[in-house]
Order: sequence, then structure tokens, then C-alpha cells
Amino acid sequence: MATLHAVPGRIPKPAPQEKVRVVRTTDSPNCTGACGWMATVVNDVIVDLKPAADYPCEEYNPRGCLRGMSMTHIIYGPDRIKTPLIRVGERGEGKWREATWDEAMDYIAQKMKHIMENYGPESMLLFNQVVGTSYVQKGAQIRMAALLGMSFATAYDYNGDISMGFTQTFGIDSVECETKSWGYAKYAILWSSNVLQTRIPDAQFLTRFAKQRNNCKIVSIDPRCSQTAKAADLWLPINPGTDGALALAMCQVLIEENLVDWEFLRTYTDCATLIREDNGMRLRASNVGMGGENEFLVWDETRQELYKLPTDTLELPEDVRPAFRGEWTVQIDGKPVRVRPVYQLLESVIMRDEYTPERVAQITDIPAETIRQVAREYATTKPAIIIIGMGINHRYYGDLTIRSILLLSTLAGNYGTPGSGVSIYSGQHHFRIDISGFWYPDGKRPNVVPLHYFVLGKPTETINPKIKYPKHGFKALFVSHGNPLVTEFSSLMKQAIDRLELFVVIDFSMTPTCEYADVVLPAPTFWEKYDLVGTSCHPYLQIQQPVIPPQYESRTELWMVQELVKRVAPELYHYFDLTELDAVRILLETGGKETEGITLERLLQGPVRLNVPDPEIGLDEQLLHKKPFPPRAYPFRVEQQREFLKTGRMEFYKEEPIYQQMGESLPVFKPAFSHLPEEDQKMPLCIVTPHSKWRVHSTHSNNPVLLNVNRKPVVEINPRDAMARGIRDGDLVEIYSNYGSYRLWALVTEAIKPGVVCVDHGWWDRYLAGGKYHSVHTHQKIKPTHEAYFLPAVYAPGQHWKDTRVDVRKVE
Amino acid sequence: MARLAMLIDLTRCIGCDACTIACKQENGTPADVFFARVLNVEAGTYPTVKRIYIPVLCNHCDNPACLKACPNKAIFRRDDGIVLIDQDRCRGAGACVSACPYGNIILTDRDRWYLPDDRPYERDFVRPRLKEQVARKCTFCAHRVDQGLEPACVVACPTTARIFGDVEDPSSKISRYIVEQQETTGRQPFKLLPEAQTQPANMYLGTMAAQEVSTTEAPPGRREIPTEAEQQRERTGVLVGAARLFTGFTLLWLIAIAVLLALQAKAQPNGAAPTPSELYADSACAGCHGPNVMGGLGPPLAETKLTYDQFLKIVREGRGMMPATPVSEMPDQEVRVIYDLVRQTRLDIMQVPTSYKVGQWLSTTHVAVIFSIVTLIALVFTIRVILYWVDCAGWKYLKPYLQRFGYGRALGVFLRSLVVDGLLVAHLWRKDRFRWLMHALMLYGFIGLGVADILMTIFNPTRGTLPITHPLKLLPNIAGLLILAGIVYVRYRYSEDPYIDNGVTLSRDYTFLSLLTWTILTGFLVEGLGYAGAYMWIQPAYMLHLALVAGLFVTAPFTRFSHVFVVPILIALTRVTSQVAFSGVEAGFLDEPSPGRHHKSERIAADVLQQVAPEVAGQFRLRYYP
Repeated sequence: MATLHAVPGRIPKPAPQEKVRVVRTTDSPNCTGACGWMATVVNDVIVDLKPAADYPCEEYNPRGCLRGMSMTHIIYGPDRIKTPLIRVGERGEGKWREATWDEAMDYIAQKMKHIMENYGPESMLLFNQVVGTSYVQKGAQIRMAALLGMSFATAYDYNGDISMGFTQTFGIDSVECETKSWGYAKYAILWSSNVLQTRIPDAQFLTRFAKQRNNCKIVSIDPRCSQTAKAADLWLPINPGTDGALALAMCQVLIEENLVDWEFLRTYTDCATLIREDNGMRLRASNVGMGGENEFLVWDETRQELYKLPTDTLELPEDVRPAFRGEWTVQIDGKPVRVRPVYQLLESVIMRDEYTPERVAQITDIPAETIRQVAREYATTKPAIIIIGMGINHRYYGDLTIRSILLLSTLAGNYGTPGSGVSIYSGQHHFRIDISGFWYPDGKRPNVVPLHYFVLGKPTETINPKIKYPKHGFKALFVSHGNPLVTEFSSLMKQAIDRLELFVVIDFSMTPTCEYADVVLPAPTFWEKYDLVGTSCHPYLQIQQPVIPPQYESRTELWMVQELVKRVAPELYHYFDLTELDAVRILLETGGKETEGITLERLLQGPVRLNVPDPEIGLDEQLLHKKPFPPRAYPFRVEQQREFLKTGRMEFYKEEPIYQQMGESLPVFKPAFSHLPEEDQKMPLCIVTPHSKWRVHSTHSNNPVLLNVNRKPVVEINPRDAMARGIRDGDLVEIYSNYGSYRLWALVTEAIKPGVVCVDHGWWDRYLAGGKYHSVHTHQKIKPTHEAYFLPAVYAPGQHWKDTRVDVRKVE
Repeated sequence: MARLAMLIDLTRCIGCDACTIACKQENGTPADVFFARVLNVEAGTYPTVKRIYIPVLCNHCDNPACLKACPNKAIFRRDDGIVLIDQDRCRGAGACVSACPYGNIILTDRDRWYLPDDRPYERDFVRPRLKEQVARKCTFCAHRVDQGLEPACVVACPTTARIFGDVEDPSSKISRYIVEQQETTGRQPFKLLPEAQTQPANMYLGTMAAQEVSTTEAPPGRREIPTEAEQQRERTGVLVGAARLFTGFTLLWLIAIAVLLALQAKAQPNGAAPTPSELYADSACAGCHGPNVMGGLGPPLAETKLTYDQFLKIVREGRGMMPATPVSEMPDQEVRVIYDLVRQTRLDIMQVPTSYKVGQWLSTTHVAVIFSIVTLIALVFTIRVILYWVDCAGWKYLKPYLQRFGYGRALGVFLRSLVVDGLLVAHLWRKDRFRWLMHALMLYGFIGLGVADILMTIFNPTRGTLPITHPLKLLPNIAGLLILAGIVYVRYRYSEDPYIDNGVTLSRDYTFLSLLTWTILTGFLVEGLGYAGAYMWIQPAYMLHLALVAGLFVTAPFTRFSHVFVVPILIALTRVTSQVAFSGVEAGFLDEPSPGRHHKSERIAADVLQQVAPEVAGQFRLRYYP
């Protein structure tokens, strides 16, 4: 509001008398912030952005960060796409024809029709980043994909956001308490999580509330003295990839020192369920004629007999004391079969010599005494919270690591109160409401195929049968607000794109991916259109408003979809004959109990808290109301998730044959790089690619005002590694591996562990000193256990881009 | 009266730079201009590494160095304590840039912008807000404060690490927060660089995290190569310091002796002429003639020891203020008669006027000694003042970079700037010719007087009477007139300019102006009295003149006079620093937001680390990214 003044001299200059409009909106890049803003608009130009700070819960005020505030430099930025562009040269050559919307739409529609007729609509793949930020606009694209029968690749699995360790244990891909809950913690372990940089609007719940109100002890486990270590009382510079071992060693300490919360294990976990020795499967009620296939048995110590766990509640009768240790023989089909409780098996793994703190100290570089101390403190300080960062999940064995951490938290029973539990804020795919009503009209769904298979060019042998890879392969790809050519497997991605007949990119900035497209369609930024936004970080539903009209020739995604449907399948047009606000109404009406009573009119007034507990602690229904696991993962029905978690309890034993074959039935530690080819393992340095405050993935990479502060890409390297390579601070260096190389500048810093180098995630190639960003990463590969089940964005193949080994050399 | 201030809680700060960007947006600053910066400090060596973020912005000092350094009085302090740079008055001299010990003033040659020229956002709403080529800094968002809003960085801080308010009001947010934190977390607010004596308004609260590290890895045995070089420097540091102290004292004495000798030499007669003591030692009339004091007091030259020829020569040529008597006016015989009469007259000591005795005592030597003492005192204070400003400019932290840049090269830049910016006042010439002219009246008038004094000492050591048309007479008179014209303009400006009071220095400005006015006026009075023949009044007037000159010199370090040496030095230091910054000798300088204040940021970081993590304060690095 005040920005129209010149900087005051002696005599205050009167503000120019212009018509000023102030609009409350929310921005929605893929940072999970979903912060409310007050935009000041003069002559349809945004002149000022300030945090709205109007959340009814005072603790959430203010929300916002440098990226949101500098959106003006993207909205009006130098890379803004002004008109539809149709490629005239070779792909990536940079020769374009500025087209009208009619031309562009006709062009795409004609190609689409051709593909649909010859290969079927499933040969067209939609990949949009990320729908959680935009229930209406990107939802409209999915609505179209669903109705046309197109394939759809959800961004979350390709992003490696799905933490399979969570799905394997809780039956849902991530569990997040609202960030307000952090403020109640008295002990916080930030496990490779850099929340001070990656969750800027929520960081105050640690530094301001937890620290200043509770004097919370903050432990940071990270090979890099990340920016979060600033707020940490204890920094544990762990060897990359050894987190699982650390968690298991801490579990051992808990068992050894008898700090296990037996009551918690009894109620919420599968620890007492019995496992058959003959086939490694769980003992089912049907095996012994006590009930059905999906009913499970424990050994009740009070009555000394088998007891069937209830399936409709977690609550056990007071006098039922399930045994955690022991061995019994039961008769199955007339044969004696020995059974043991899961806990007995778990204990036999955890108590192995290889997980003693002393042995683990050798591989993690964290002293045994510290491991004991942190384990002890974590188990005895309540509430204690663990926040997991994505770094440990972006590994081939990342699911095992997360299962180990979940086991630790479960043994300690650190759940059920604000400021406890384990949270993983991995992108905005934790849907707050049921979006099926708008996305999946008449129950029609698109054919979901993880993008991994597109990149690989073919299905794997172990592909889950639920995934329908198109008969003729993929012929067209629509990327909406994604920048896959700036991700780790961009060279493979490029090869896959080269096989396509049509590659359309929808974006507002001319990204490296746009530069490779056949057709580029200019979209408005979040400041130029209506949408509905929710996030896992806070339980407020907000409406996004067109603060200014779509700039240049840009058109909303809904409009584009309408135009395409008109041309491709006019008979379906009535599904799209609606406005954005109509879509919001549909979403609110069909959103489930969370949106009951929330109307568009209320949303237009300001943020509205969803119907969720306050504070929301994660797993609320299970922990507070003893409802069986899994919690519902919108937009799916709980029944669809049942296959992950047949016992309805937190599962630490996975019985499916593929887990047994890989020796992963129980959480164990496997060396992170052991799955790599030998020549890769020989490379001396690990590389980590954390998110920084300067970007949301690759968005804002080209923001000129942020580039003015963060001027160039650097590789952080410890002086010991640098000295050995003759590298000095500021030198031009090259990172290389067996897969590729790129050049940037060295930042010789004491704040990183020797043997580890670090490059920020999301730089566009043009800012490098040479080479292709991320070209050093190990190639795409799918872990067979990740194909054990399939449910889009809940259980799908993960990513392992942190399992990369490289070296650095000085460029002379 | 209010005293607005900001409290920055380092426990809450997460180093997210939201304040930096919010400020840019609010104030419409161009590229490389950042009013609210966040210093990203990593201290210690792996594995004992600590991190800390220090948000810095203008401290809105009670005793602002920038304000005192500004030659144009463009910087002023409001009643609520906000220190502002008047964008219309600023002439872009650049003295304040060096003067601010915190490095919070930014002056760029040309503004660079972020967006293409056709973007209405920047073209219409951002670029017009600030003037180009003037010094700029944080205004505490005075325009928002005046509307009852908090500064942009405060409302944008996502961790509410910045608390803003009136520290003199115990019920204000900031005052309550200070009390609350003292009670609950036992933290006391501290201010940055107290030794700079600027009395900043902004306060900081320390970090609460222990920031310990636990790893099996031992700290490294060997440190980084440059660090070893630093150790070498540390070892030799004490010796170098002692040597410098000795050199300093020696230099001071040499200067003092040189000044004394010069003044002595001035007292020596030239060529074969008799010494003054030979001429007048015992003469009651010496006061009329002596080179020591210029007064025509006129008592009889009783018992004169002069020969007749010497006497005749004095009468005919004049000496001192005694006018020459041409032959035509008084025949030789009459002179002879007077001479004889004088010789026979007995010297009655009671008849010798006190003024003569004073004049006798005020021999050249004595005046020289007095002025030497005066100059020495002034010099000591001047050196102290210069040292203060050099300290403000961050000399100690700039030195390592100067070493790499090359002292010789730096001296070249420094001297060039002294000529261009100090002597020629180039920045003023570019910006405002009229002001340059007015400034030139004073500056070159002063230089003219100085040169005249030196020439006089060389060519007319006995201060013999010269005709008004003589160059040696013309020069000081014209110079004096220039200064007088300048004074008249300045006085006019002082009376007309409603904003001449910047809230801090007005009394000191007037002290200088008054002393200068009276010095020049008494100078002309002495001259005038001579021409008017009122010899009786010359001596008292001259002595008043001398006293005023002495006063001017002695008070120089404390009045506006100091800008004569302070401003050129500060500007020259600004030039040197920017040359260093853009020479690429140190990555830090170029990489930082608003390049050129790296060394001052290091000073702040060292100071804050001393408060929050003294064990690693010795070894830290500032990081500008990632």
C-alpha cells in the first residue's frame, strides 16, 4: 500500500493519486507453503505484496517468504511466455513461430485425434506438477484426461515424494501433523530435514514456539551443517546413506535400556501378530479356523491362547495381554507350524551385533555415546517429534530407512499428542479434501502410469499388473508446469521425448523443458487465475484469486482444456461448461467431511480452517479414536489402501514374497550404494542436492531479483577434499561421474562433511559454467519392492537420485 | 519524544532473506542495492562448525557517523530517531558510505534493473521511486511509519524475528519484548559495534541453540592453506604493532620539530640585513619597527643603538607597520636631528607602553611556539578524528584485502581521489555548478590564504610594508574576499534553509561559521587599520585575529571545519574500497548483495560472534550463497 511513496526526503512527497485495489489471495507453487498474500494493484499492475497475516489462528501469522514476495519478478519476468509458440526447427533448436490460440489448439487437436485413432487415447500422457497446488486448474486437465481416457503420470511418484516406508508401515504415503504442532515439541529430531530453508513460513514453530516457549532441544542429523543446524542444539554429521543403521542402533538402545512403550506396541502395531515359520506369512484366523483371511491372531498371555485381533478398532479388551516374545506351535491343515510374534523377529534383528551403537558409530561417524544419549532423550522426553527430510527417501533403500525410523518412534511410543509423531512433508500431495467430484466425473479415472516407465521407454518385468502400460507405447506428452528436463534423469527423459509425436508444454516461464517442446502454451501465474488451494503444512483452505488479468496472451488451464475438448471430443464439452468458481463449488460440495459447511462465500472472505482436529497431530483418527489403519489417502477409498496394511495396524513386518526374497520383511540396514555398479561405487564423493530457499524446485531459478542475491551455482566442498584436489574457494570446477559432468564454482566450506559435496537443486543449465545440470546422476532404476503394490501417489516406484557418487576436479 | 528502534531476535531468525526481498519491493531498490541484508556466517572448522544469521540494516544511530560526515548536510535525524538521507539534497559525494561503520549506505554509479524496459511494474512503479547517483539506505520505512504501519521487513518476517517500536514507551511491543525475554530466557539485548560510538537504535538478542556437534571424526590436524598464512601474520602481529607505534610517535615529533623550525626560519632576517635584536633590542621604539609585532606605537626611540644610516634606512623604507617616509617629506637633516634627539633621550621604562611590552614578548619565536602548541593540540585531535573515521571505514578489516589488492595501487587511487574529489570537488561540479562555485569561494580562498602565508614567509620574512598592488599583498586580500563572499552565501543559506538543522550538528556548524567569519573580518580589520593609519589599533586587532585563528584551528576537529580533512579522506576511502571490491581480489566482495561492504560485514560478524559464540569468533567466513 505504502510503496507508492518515494523514499522520503525532508518533505514527505504525497503518494500519486491512483486507483488502488487490495486483493487477498494465496500463491501456490509446489513448496507446500500456501501462504496468504495481500496484493496491492494499481492499473492492473501488482505493485506490492505483503503477507496477509489473516489466519484465524494467530500462530500462523505471518506466512510468506522471499519467493512469494519476489513473484512480481516472475509475473513480469524476462522469461514470461507471451503467446502460444509452435516449433519450426528441430526440437530444442529454439526456432519458434508465434501462433494464435486457434492455430495452436487446432494443431494440437489434430495431432491428438490422429494419435487417438491410431494408438488409442492412452498413448497420450499428461504429466502435471503438482495438482495439490491447484485443485481446479490442474484438476481440469485431469478431468479431461479422465474423460478422454488418456494416461496420467502423477508428479508425486516421479518426484520421489512418495515415502514407501510410510505406506508400508502406516498404509499411507506420508503423515504430517499441522506445523503448529511442532511448537509443542520438547524434543525435535530433524532427520536430514532442512525446515529452516524448505519450510520457511513454518520454521517459526521451531525457532519461536518450540525453542523459546518449551526450550525444545533440536537435533539435526545431516551430513551438511545445513542452515537448519543454526537452530539445532546438536548436529550429527552423519555419513550419507547410513541413517537406517543409526535408527536401528537407537532402537537397540531403547530395547536394551527397557525404554520401550509396550502399551503403544500392544494397541497400534502388528508387533504381537504371529508369523509362520514355514512360509513367513502372518498367521491368519482362517488358517486355524478362527475366522477370515484378513483377520490376524496374537497370543494372549492372560488366557494362554490365540486371540483374534478386532478389525473394526485398535482397542483391545483390557485383559488381553498379547505376547511379544515366545514361540508356539499351531496346527495348520493338520501340520504343526511354529509361529512367533513380529516383535520377537524384530528384536532378533535389532539386537544383532551389527546394530550395537559401537558398530554403528563406525559406519555413521556418530559416537556410540551420542547415539545412546539421543535415543534415551528421544524416548524419555515427551512430546518428541521427528521430521524427516526427503534426502533419505530419495535412495534405493530409502523405504528401509524410513521404516527403521518409524520403528524407533513406535518403540518410544512418541505419538498421540501435539508435538510428537513422525512427519514427512514431501510435497503437496497429501490431499486435504476429496477431489474426486471434480477430477473424476462419473467415476471415470485416467489410466495412471508412473512417469518412470515413460522415461525407461518400456515396462519393467516386475511391473505391477495394475499399471496398464499402453499397448503402442507413448506418442504424446503434455507437461503442465513441470520442468522434467531440469531433473536428475533429464538425458533419459530427452530420449523418451524424442520418440514422441507430440510434446506440449504449458507454463508461464520459458523453461528448459519449454525450449524442447513442439508447442508451448502460455499459462497465467498463480496471481492471474482462480483456484482452490490446500496444503499439508496447515489446515486452511484458501481461494486463489485473479489479482490481475492473465498477462499477455496467457489463458487459464481450464480454458485450454475447454478449447481442446471442443475440438477433440465435442460430445464431452458439457463436462467443461463451467467456470473456475463452479469447480470450486463442486469441490466444496463433494470434498468430504473436511469441507462440510465451507462455502465459496466464506472462502472469499479469507482462509477457512477445514474440519480437522485442532491442533492436528497426524494419524488423529487412529491415535485418538483407535480407528484401524490406514488413514484415508484422498482421493482413494480406504479399501483401496487395505492391501498395504492387512492387519489394520502399523506394520513392521511385510509378508509379501517380494519382501521376503529381498530380505526386507523387517526393517534392516542395507548400505546405500551397494546396489550401484562397481565402477560407480569407486567414485570418492557422495553428492547431495538439497532444496534451497532460492527456488521451489526449478521455479524461481530465473527470478532476476533472487539471482541478484544468490548469484551463481556452487558446489559445497570441505577444505580437506578441496585441498586434495587443489581447489580453492571460488574456483571453477567440474563435477563428474560415469554418466556425465557439469561445471560450476567451488564453495570451500567447513560446513560440510568431508567426502560429501552439495549442489542446490533446481538450477537451469544456462546458469552453469557448462554441461548439463544433474547429468551426473545414476540412471533411472526401479526397486522391485516398489512394485509390490500400486496406488497412484500412495504406492508407486520411488527415486534414488541421492545414491550418486561423483568426483570433482578443478578446471584449469 | 519517541525513539523508534528494531530488536532482532537471533534465535528466531532463520536466515531466509524474506526481509531482504520485502525491503527491495517496498523501497523499489535497483539491482545490487539492498537495505536489509542478512549476514550468513559459518564459524569454526569441521566438525565444530557453527552457523549464525545476522540481519543488518541501518541502525538509525543517536550519533550517526554518516550524518556527521555528510558534506552537504543531506542526512538528518528526525525527532523519532529515524535518520534519513534527503534524496534531493544528496550530491553523491560518497563520504557517508565509508563513514557508516556498518556498511549500510549504498551509492552506485548507475542503476541496473531487473526487468525488460517494457514491463509496467518496474518501469512505472519501481524505477521512478529512487533518485539515481545519490546515497541510499534503509529509512525504517519512514513512509509506512508515518502511516502508522510497521516497516516492510518487520511485517514480512515469517518468524517475527524483528520487533519494532518505540523504546522510550514502556508499553510498546519492543519494550515489552525486551522485558519478557530478560525474564524468560535471561537474554540481554546488545548493540552492534559499541566502540564506533554511534549509539545505534537497533538491538539484537542472542541465539539460544547450543549448536554442539557430535561425530567420531577428529578435528583436522592441518588447517587450510590460507589459514596458515593468517597464523604467520598473527605471530608477527605484536612486533609490527610496536614498530608502528614507534614510527607514529617519531613521525609526530618530526612534524612538530619541522613546524617549529619553519616558524623559526620565518623569524630569521634574510641576507646581510641586521638581526632584529641588533636593530631594536634595546630600543624603546622597537615596537614600531620590529618584525615580531605589527604595531606603530610611536614612543621615542630613546637611547637607540642604531647607527644613523640604519635609522635613516628604516625611516625611508619603513619596517613592519611603520610607514616609510619619502625623502621629499622629511629632509635628511631633520632625520639627523631626530636621531640625535632620540639618542640623547633617556629611556624611562615607565613610558614604555604595555602593548609594546606585550609586542616585545610576542617575538616570532614565541608566536611560533604558541602556534606550534596550538597546532599540535589540534593535530592530536585531528589525528584522533581521522583515526575514528578510518576505523568507521573498516580499515582493520579492509587491510587484508588491500594487501592482496596492493598498497601502492590503493595509494594511487587514494591520492587521485584526494585531488579529484577533494581538491576539485568533482562530484559537486557534476551535480550542482552553483553550489560548486560557492564551495569553491571558500575552498580556494582558504588555499589562497595558505599559499599567501607561505610566499610571504619566503619573500617577505620581515613582513615589510608592501604596496597594495604587490602580488604578495593582492593574493591574501583576494583570497580573504573570496572567503568572505563564501561566508556571506553560507550565512544566507543558513538563514534561508529551513532544514539546516539535521538534528545533531547544528551547534558545531555555527561554531565553525562564527569563528571563520570573525577570523576573516579581523584579518581585514588589521589590514584596514594599517591603511587608515590607526596604528594604535593594529596590535589589539591583530592579536584578536591571531586568537581567532588559533581558536579555529584548535576547534577544527570538533566543528564543521573537520570536513576539510574528513570528507576527502572518507571519499578517497570509499573510492579505494569500491576499487578493491570490483578488482576481484576477494570473492566475498563481489558476491555479496550490494558489493563493497564485505569488510564491514566481517567486522559485524566478529562482533556478534564475540557475543554469541566467543570460542569460534576467531575463525569465521561470510557466505553469500547458496
